[in-house]
Amino acid sequence: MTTPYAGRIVIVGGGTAGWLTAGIIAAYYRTQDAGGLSVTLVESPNVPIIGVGEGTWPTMRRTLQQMGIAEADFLVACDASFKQGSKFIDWTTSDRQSGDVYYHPFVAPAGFGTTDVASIWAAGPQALPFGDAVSFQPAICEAGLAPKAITTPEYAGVANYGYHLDAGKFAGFLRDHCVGSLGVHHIRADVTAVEAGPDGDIAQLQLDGHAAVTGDLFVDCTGFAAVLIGKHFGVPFKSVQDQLFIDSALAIQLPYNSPSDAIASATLSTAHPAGWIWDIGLPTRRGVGCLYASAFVSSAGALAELSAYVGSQGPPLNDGDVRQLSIVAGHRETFWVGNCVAVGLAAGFVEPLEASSIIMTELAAQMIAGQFPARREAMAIVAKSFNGLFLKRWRAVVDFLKLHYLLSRRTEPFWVTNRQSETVSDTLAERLELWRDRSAAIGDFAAADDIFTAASYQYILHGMGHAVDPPPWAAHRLDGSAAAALFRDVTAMRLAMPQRLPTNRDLLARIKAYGLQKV
Amino acid sequence: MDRFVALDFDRHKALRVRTDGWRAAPGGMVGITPLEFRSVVAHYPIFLRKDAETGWFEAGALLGFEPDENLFVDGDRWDAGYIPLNSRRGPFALAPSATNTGHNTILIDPSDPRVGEDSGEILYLEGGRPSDYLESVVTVFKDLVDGGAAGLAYTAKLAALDLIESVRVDVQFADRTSTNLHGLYAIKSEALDRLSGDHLAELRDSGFLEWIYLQRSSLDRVPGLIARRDRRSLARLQTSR
Repeated sequence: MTTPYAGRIVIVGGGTAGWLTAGIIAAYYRTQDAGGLSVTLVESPNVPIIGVGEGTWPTMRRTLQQMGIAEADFLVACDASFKQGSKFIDWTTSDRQSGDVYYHPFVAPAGFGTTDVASIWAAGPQALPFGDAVSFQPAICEAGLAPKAITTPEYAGVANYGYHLDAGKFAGFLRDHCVGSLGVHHIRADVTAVEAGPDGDIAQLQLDGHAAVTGDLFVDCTGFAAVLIGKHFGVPFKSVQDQLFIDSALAIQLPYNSPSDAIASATLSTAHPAGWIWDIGLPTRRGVGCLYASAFVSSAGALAELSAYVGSQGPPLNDGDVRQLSIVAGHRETFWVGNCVAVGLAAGFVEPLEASSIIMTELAAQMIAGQFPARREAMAIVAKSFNGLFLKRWRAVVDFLKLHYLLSRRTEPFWVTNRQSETVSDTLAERLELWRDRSAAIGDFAAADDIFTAASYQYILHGMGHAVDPPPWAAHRLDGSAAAALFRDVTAMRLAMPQRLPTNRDLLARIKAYGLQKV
Repeated sequence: MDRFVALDFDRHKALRVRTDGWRAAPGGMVGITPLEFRSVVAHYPIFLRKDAETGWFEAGALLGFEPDENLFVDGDRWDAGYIPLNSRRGPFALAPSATNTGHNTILIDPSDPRVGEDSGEILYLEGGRPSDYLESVVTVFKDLVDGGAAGLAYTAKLAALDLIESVRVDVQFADRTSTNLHGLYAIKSEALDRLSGDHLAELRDSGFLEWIYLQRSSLDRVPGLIARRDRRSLARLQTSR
């Protein structure tokens, strides 16, 4: 006998993860039309949104477009700007005079997939930094230029881009769209009890001042509280603090000195003796934060680092403006148990070095939507593949972040300890062994598991001066002439782009005034 | 625009403007208003393009395949039964008045080759009243302002209803040269066919539906434009032999 279809999805938690998951699933199934699959989001009226993620990957363009959102509406409502990658300062040697700056741009290296440009560059004279040799994007970021023009259609780019955004505004914007256009049911109430059925599945949630809500799949987006996956199911949290030492943050919002100040088109990441400082430019403010490992520096020391950073570039810092956050780097051992799946901070969190938080939420919600089991019997099969895939993805995130520390030559205890072999995963150690003789290659990665591709690894490896010592028999493949035309094209693009692209600030102002066309 | 100065009787009473100097008129694509569509459609293909400042769509008539090419100018003659308003504005331009808020003022480019003191139409009569010619220029600008507002409403509605598509115009000429035009847009016919009754009625009542069909049928003028270019190339070839 076949059991009935089971299409009631209940999401608990109304932050970025909750509303993003609701929107992705609701848009995928056109929940606003009659048809059966329902999405309900239960949001506590009392729990504030953490809003840690303020940087997205380029994938967010497609995510928003599929939800039926106009890009201009999103940009204006979420105080968003264009992100074209990350700029790392002082990560390798902390000697800024020697130019310790490199980019991890969103545009893949020229010829990526057809020519091993990275190995060729590494074996060549290295006349230009790797990022500049293989991509025009670092130069346009340096110039404060936007990745597109006012005549470029919405969601299309001259250069690949994601966003910087105000996470609090983003959650509210998604909520309005989910409820107003996508047919998501919204319940504002605290969960008072989680009631399990005889099979151990969650049967319903008791709510404060509201009728209980029943469902077939419950998505835990309750953040660090992990009300369902942690408190109810008791799934252990796997700390990765043996690999990533950052455990604290001091965050602050800063106004621009002048309304005409450039809006940075990359996330700025500046290393300090016991961590690093993020700097994200939105149209109306900057978000700056000092991440640190409390085993290596006191909170007073971290505040001094933050003050020194801000002091050199902005108005004076008031202690009251600084928000202190604790970070427990790690993830669940399993993410999907019975009829409950954890997404967002409830699933895992690492320091925001490569904007992994929002992308992991997008990937989880896309998999839930795309593989949503129509009947309860099928759920265990999807859960098994979800758990396997996301465990690999979280490990891949940890490895990629660790790479940034491993390649550093800084000498402070935090950095030296970061390079000790017992703090590095076997996978990463093995890959670095491979990359002593050649650069990272597409074949080193499994597309679905490794959310960071060989392109990203190449930018970090060669941005941080990783040496490659190819065997003599590779010489004919590393002949620079094979890539000469590619390098010339990049140079031509780098010279042409400033005539084609406005500044970030100019374009964002135009979009606010005139919108963006769909075609 | 730096060369343009506000037209002023005292400063410009001696000036004359040649009205047959079409070579100085801009070629390529010239902006038109939907109020001109009925006249334009008999002679020129109508495309949309984006305004570089706003990204908004505006209609234009194609006069040639190069930025400065005007295949309708033959010596001092404009070889078509209708000349777009923007081609008839001569050495003049319009700008918001500095002294009279909400009004516009006419500017002139004294360095334009059509401007002189020896030949052409006078601008002012004795005593400072505008000449018939200047009155006609004022009428051109008045029509451009009225039509421009209609044009913005028209293209905004087209965009809102998703009726615009990007088109690639690849042209082969008889002399085996070819060109392709970028940044052009046209009516998306299949979207028009799928339009709901309510939307169709809305377009009909606003008068936009007629403009849509005029604009769409104007694309039949592309072969004629290619033929003009081929005749010109052939003539040049024969002269050079």
